Amino acid sequence: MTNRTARTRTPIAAVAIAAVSLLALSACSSGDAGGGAASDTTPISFQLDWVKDSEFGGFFEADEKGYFADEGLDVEFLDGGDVSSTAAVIAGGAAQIGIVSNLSRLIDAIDTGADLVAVGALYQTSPAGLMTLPDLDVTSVDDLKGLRIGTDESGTADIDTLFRVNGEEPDYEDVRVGYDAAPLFDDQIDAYYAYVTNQPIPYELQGIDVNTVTFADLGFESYAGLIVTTREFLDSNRDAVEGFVRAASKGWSETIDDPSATAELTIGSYGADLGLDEDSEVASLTAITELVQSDYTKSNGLFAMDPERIAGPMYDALTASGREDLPDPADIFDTTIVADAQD
Amino acid sequence: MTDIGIELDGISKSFVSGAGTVRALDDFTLSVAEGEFVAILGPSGCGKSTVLRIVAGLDSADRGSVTVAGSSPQTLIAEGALGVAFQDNALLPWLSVRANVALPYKLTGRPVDQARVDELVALVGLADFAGARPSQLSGGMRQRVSIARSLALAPRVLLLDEPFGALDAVTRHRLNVELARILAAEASTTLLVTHSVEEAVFLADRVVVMTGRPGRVKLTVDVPFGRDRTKAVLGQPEFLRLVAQLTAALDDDDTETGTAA
Amino acid sequence: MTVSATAAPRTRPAAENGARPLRLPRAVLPVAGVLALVLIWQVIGVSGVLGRAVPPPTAVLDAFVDKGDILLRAALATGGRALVGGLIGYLLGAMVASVTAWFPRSTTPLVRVTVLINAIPIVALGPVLMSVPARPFIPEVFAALSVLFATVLTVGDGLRSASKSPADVFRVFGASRTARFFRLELPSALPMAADAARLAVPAAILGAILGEWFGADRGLGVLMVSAMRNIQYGFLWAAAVVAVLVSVVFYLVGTVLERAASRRFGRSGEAAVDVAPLAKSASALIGVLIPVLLIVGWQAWIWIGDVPQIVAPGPLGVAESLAADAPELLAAAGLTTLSAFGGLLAGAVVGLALAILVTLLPWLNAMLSPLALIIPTVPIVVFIPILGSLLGYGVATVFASCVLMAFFPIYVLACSGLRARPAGSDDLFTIYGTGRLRRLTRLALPAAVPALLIAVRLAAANAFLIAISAEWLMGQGGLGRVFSERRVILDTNGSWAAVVVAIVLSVLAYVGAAALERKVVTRWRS
Repeated sequence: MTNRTARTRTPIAAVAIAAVSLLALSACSSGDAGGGAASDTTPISFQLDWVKDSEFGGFFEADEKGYFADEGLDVEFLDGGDVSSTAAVIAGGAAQIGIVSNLSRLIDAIDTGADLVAVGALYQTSPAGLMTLPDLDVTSVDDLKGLRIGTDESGTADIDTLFRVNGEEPDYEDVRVGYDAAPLFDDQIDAYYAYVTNQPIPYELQGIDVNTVTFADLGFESYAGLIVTTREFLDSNRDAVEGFVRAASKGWSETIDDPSATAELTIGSYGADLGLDEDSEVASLTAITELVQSDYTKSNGLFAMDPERIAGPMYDALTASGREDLPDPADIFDTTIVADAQD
Repeated sequence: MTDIGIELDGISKSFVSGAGTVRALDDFTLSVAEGEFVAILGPSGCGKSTVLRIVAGLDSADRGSVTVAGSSPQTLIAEGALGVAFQDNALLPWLSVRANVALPYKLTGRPVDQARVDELVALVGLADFAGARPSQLSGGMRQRVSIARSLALAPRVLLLDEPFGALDAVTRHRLNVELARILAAEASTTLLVTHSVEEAVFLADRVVVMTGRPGRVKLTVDVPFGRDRTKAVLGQPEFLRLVAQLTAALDDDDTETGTAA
Repeated sequence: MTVSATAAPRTRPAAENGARPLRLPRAVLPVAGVLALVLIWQVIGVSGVLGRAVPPPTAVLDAFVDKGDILLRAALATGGRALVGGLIGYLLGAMVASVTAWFPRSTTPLVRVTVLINAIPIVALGPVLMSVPARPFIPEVFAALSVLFATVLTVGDGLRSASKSPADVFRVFGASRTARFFRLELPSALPMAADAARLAVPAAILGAILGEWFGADRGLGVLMVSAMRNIQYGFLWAAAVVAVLVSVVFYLVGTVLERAASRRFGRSGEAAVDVAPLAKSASALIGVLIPVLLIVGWQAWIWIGDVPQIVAPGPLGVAESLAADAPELLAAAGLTTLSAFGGLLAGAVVGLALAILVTLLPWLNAMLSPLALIIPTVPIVVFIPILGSLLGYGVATVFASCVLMAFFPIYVLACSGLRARPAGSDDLFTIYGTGRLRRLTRLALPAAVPALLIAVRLAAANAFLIAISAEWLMGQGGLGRVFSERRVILDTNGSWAAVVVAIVLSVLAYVGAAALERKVVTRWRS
């Protein structure tokens, strides 16, 4: 009651202290995580873009069989959840290598100034596509005109791009739906935006017939499941990145040979806390193994990226999606890693 | 006085509580003539409030009969002919003084007699506070509102349950003087429950002393002053004698009431 | 003329002595209520009227049998994170509250900072936290942040509720400030502190589950997103049921603590002493200073930490986005406000209606009493994926989430509010022969107003959080959708601009509700 100024100063000081300490905390926490590890093994935090289910099975095989260890790598899998965040996690240095779910997301990340490089592509063909009832066979974008398509928000962008890359303006009714294709069977939609390796599976397992088509089949090409690192990490740890790709490639080869074994490994060990169902994991992984192989990978190795396909149809699609000032593919795709990883 | 205001005949009442059965009243008999003011005096926990609740129809007796103004408490309730001033004033904090006093009209579905409400508010000396809310009033003022409210429908039977119990002695005295004045104007059969000997003697025509639990009538004393009492009564030798007599009667009871909660 | 008292008809049975109309054992109605609910659920599930997204309880039971071990591990993981994070947030909140008790002048600024922190939609923090070393502890951080606010307010009130007279005794004996704090204020605050701990339970679990959506290796949150994507409905519901069970267990522990504290230290029953208000100028200065300091600190973090824009943008970039996207952000803010407030209103109406029904029908009240026990413990987010499967991924789900969010506290507080009548008023109404309806409109409803306003304030503080979380998950609606869309194309400036708007709205909603409460409650104080 005596000294006004002294009293009013207290809260301001308190706030200042709080703000400063907050600041100090955040400044500390943004420091680099992967410090000096000049021992014989290189620790790699590997950021997945979803929870540890069997879509990452080949990487689990490489870990389980010791292929990473053979390359002098100590790989830690970081679970994903928020698919949009993986590029930021890699760019921010919290993971050295990670999966960026598709090409457009990589381009967007680089657009914000993130210094990222793709060293391989797990999916030669993106699993993104459409699911329809058996009486509707979609073979070209013309078949989609005027249809009701169930999507989520990335689906809308993809389908718009699909129309435009085919030289058409988007002409369909956009219906927001969730992870379940049920509206298709209730005649609320004519087609359902899906990962062909994912949502059709439970229906197929129940013996319900459905048609699937990937966007690539309709002229919209994109790599998916890009293996991404930062330019800085690649330049200083090229051997480690190459070793990672080599080991992962071995793991995925085994998965291609025996998807069931990898699914079992996932359910029993890496994804043991997810309550996964064996039948659907095996079916999903089998579908995935179709998409990770192509004629190009048969001659150039798994994960190989074809510069001509990138510069051609894939960049066409990116342009069709409205993205401008695309970076030179040579700056953001390093195709030499996969090449050097081939023994 | 030939007509009977309140007739309690052989009332017994027990409560079941966690600790067992408590006998609150045992064969309690009391008769109040119409227009008479009777005060029930007793140590706390003797069941005097239970008597009042039974008369008000808030509790029912296990045995015995209750007649209020010639019929049952429920009939009286149905007629809106009962007025009660509660120990804890029971004012609705969200209503103004005037609205609290007018509440009985609303509750019984009658048109509000605004003139009567204003008159009662003035009678209890709160004309200047008619628009105030209970939280803005002192404890004594709230009790006055409560009394004004109990009188709103000009009840045939008025029940006062320690209306000033929570107040200090000075305020209490002052309110008693006021209450005497008010009740002189609003004559009806009145039953007052109190533990204050002075209050009982000052206000009532007749004082009934109850024993400790289970409550029974121990002593009945007539108060010889008229209804038009002023502060002057307080100093009269007869007043002091009665107070002493009743206090002694209450004190006698100490051993018995020791068990009362 | 004499009517025997024993035969007196229609005497209202007083609570302790009146004969109960039904001599059923006490547990019969609640058990019957639970059974009835489960039965209704089974019928809905088997008939499939609500689609596959609502499986019958038997299917959920199957999931328990098949994957009990997984559910148990997940429950332990989530429960552990909620406990650790919740405790940290609680202790931090209690410390802040203690500072406000020691230095009453610090109350206004500190409470404002916590209001601001509470207004940050925590889902917006997830992507940033994923890129910093705190990453493995996102669920704990979220849990801590979720309990902080309520703890500061509740414990602060507790510390200020120390009875006046003992405080004067301490003064008379010349007790030191320290002695007064530890020997008087702290013990007096314990019952409310235990209350705060109980309130913190569902909040901590909600925070932990939300945090697990940003990359945890196990836990109920992980199970829920995975089961949702793999269309394992029985399993999804089982995970939600387990989340509620974990919450109930913690809540019961909290209740035991609260009872013990109340018994030992008693509730003074006195309202907290009002905090001496700051001078208008000081208050305004603080109002400006806090956001300015936060923005300066934010910019400094970006500069000092050399944070890439993809992880977190600087204030300047966000400001540019705010200006450039103003029309879209305003429209989105309008939509979010509509969901949040519309949901609040609808939830309030439904909650109040059910509370009234339950007050009027004692048997229904008994049947629903287990529900009333569980409801305060339910972490609302567990319903968002279920609502999404049920109502589609659209605004309907966002709205329904907001309705649920508002419904829960309003139902619970309305039930207690409708019974919190002034002492003796029920008797007063009885002696004027007042019927049920009039008793409701003239007594119970007005008496419930303060409790309802508290519920509205609590719900308003969380309405935007839930609206934005649901919009984010559904990719539909207002600010949460903008946030989500901008994140998909990694436009961090744009997504943070949406967050800033959300924070402003949320603070305004809280401040508005608190002001309304203050204004009205003074009228109700007896």
